[in-house]
Amino acid sequence: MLTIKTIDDSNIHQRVYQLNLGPQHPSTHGVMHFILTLDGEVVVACDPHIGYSHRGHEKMAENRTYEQYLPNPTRMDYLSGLIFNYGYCQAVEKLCGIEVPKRAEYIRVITSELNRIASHMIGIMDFVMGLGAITPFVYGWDDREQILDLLEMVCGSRLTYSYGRFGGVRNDITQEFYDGTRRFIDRMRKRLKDYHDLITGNIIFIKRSENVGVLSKETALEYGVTGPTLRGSGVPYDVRKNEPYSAYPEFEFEIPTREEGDCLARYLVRMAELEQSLNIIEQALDRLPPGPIRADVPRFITPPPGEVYFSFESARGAVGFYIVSDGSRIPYRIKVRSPSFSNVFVMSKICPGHFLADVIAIFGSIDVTVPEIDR
Amino acid sequence: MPTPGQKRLLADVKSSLSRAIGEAQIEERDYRRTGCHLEVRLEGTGMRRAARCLKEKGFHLEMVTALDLIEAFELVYTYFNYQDQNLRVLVRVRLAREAKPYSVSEIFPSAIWLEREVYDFFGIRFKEHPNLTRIINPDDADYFPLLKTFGKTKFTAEIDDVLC
Amino acid sequence: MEVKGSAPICLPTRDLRSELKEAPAVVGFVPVQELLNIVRVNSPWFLTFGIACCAIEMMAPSMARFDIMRFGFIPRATPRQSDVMIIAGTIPHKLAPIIKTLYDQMPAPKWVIAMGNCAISGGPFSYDGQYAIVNGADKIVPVDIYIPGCPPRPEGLIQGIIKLQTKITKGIIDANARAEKAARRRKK
Repeated sequence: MLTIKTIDDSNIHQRVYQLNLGPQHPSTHGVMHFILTLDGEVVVACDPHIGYSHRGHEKMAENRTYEQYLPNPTRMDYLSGLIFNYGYCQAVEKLCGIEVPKRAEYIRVITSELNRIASHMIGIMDFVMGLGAITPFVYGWDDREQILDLLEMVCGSRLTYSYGRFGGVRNDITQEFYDGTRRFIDRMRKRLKDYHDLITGNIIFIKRSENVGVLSKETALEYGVTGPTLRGSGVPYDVRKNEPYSAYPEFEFEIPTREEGDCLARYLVRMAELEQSLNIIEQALDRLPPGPIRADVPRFITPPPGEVYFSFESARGAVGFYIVSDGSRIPYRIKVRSPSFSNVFVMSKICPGHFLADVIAIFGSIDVTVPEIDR
Repeated sequence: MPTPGQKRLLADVKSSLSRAIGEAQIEERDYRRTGCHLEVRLEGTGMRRAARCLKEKGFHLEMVTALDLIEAFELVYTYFNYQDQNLRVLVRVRLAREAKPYSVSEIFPSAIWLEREVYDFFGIRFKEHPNLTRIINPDDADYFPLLKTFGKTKFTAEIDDVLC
Repeated sequence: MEVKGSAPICLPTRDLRSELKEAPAVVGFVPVQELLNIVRVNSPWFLTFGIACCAIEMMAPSMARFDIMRFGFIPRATPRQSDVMIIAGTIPHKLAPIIKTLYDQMPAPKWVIAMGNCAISGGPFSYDGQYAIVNGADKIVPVDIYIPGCPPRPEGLIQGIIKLQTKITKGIIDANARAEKAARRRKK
């Protein structure tokens, strides 16, 4: 006779427990530490701990001249390192009143947008890999290698670039770069269609990312969220359109926005941004003006006393460089407003109520670079 | 050049700020040179009143930082209008070295981490902050790194321009 | 029973020599160990511990263009299953005990590769008044291979793996020497 024993569960109390996600974890992109309070498999509270990548950039700024500080911004957010490099140069140019020649601005825009596509390749594909799809990850890195080849031709480096200088860029682009970028644009347009076929219609992907991590418009604005995370929640804020800088006013592009605010919306916003970046690069290549690539700037610059707040759009959101100068060659204070710092805090608001596996999906869709949080 | 909509909002913000704070220095700034449209200078208190007033006008907190001017501290907050007019207001409060300013985290939750960072690097304690602990430096650190008296700065050591 | 997930369980470090002393005589026999080294070197599974910029240049060689997995170099997420730890990136003070914990959790025999200038000696962030970082990974764990660069190219990481193979087998498997001999033969 088969007897089935049932567990007497009158003595088992429901209790919450704490789990460490990180600092060493394959799916937290960098050393990110979450202390999750779980009730079974459902997250009750999520507490991000940061500081495991702190290198002291802001203190270093008080020990370096403006030119010697050039390698530093690019290492803060290394995935959009060239955009940070130009942003720092532009902040100092604004402080000193230096005017950059047209050709240099166009080169800055072309290389910035290439860098943005390369960063999105990692950002989007890391998110998708966190859900378990590894094939798009390998394909995305192949596209990234094409971009790194192009950027290496002009900048000399694959990852941490110091190509921008105060007043322009260091050297001119070559014909090989020009032809290679044209070929890359055609290739990438076809690849985008492949990615959409592979990922966007996939039922497993949609079930794991639709209605997961919904971030409402008011919460996003109150928590200081910017970038594709904010645009996925319905606010069409992009520094390139709201506070135009460099040569962006001369190009036509749209700001993709979606209303739902879930992981799927943020993914679709980033994929649409890839298209817009390709449009910008094409327009810039068509209209590239001849001329000098660097303004006539003294070798050691001494900005006048004062301060400047310069805001620009990296792949992760709106970055701000707040530079205070006391009239000497060494800055008094450089403060970097990093988008990842504000974006990651919102995880403590939207993770409760989801499963443990969704925390990885939400963190991937917010697309954070950890050393940028800690600077 | 500011658009007509921006000018209207600027005038509106100026008048309501001067009503909320009273005698404070409110000046317009050249956006092309400094990056902000309006600058407000406060002495000691008034940050929370300014924050409430700016929130009603549709501004949100963008950045919080501090400057170590040797005899005093200066807290700098920037507020940005994300949705309509793209105006930036910079509010600065000059504090004594041992002062404890009020936190604006009830009005803008993003200030919870931003002010923790200021505490972590400068030692400025905020009143009525939900969780004022170290955030980036190790939890048992006994130093505040960005003070001008800590480590190597122009005020503590000779910084050679060439061999920095 | 109270279950807390936070405190890591560290076993004390046991290195190969002390393990061999207690093993039966045939395991300590030198040709057996040399054979085991040749076997070990063809599948060194590595712990991905990317901290900063060098982490991207550690992921890039595992992708389709450079493909270090053909050397048997497969990334593992847990230290319990890995032989090699690649420390890629700057080490702040908050992270140093974590590196030691991970190193202790790896079973012997284990090796460490310090990748990038920051893991070798602090790199571009090491200066006279630096308060935040540890000047090099070898102040925390014993390092076998140093790969310089900021960040090193993927070919540099591959060269580092090949040098590690030479070091583990004490010169028996030396892909560098084989390549040089082949190049000299081609030139003749």
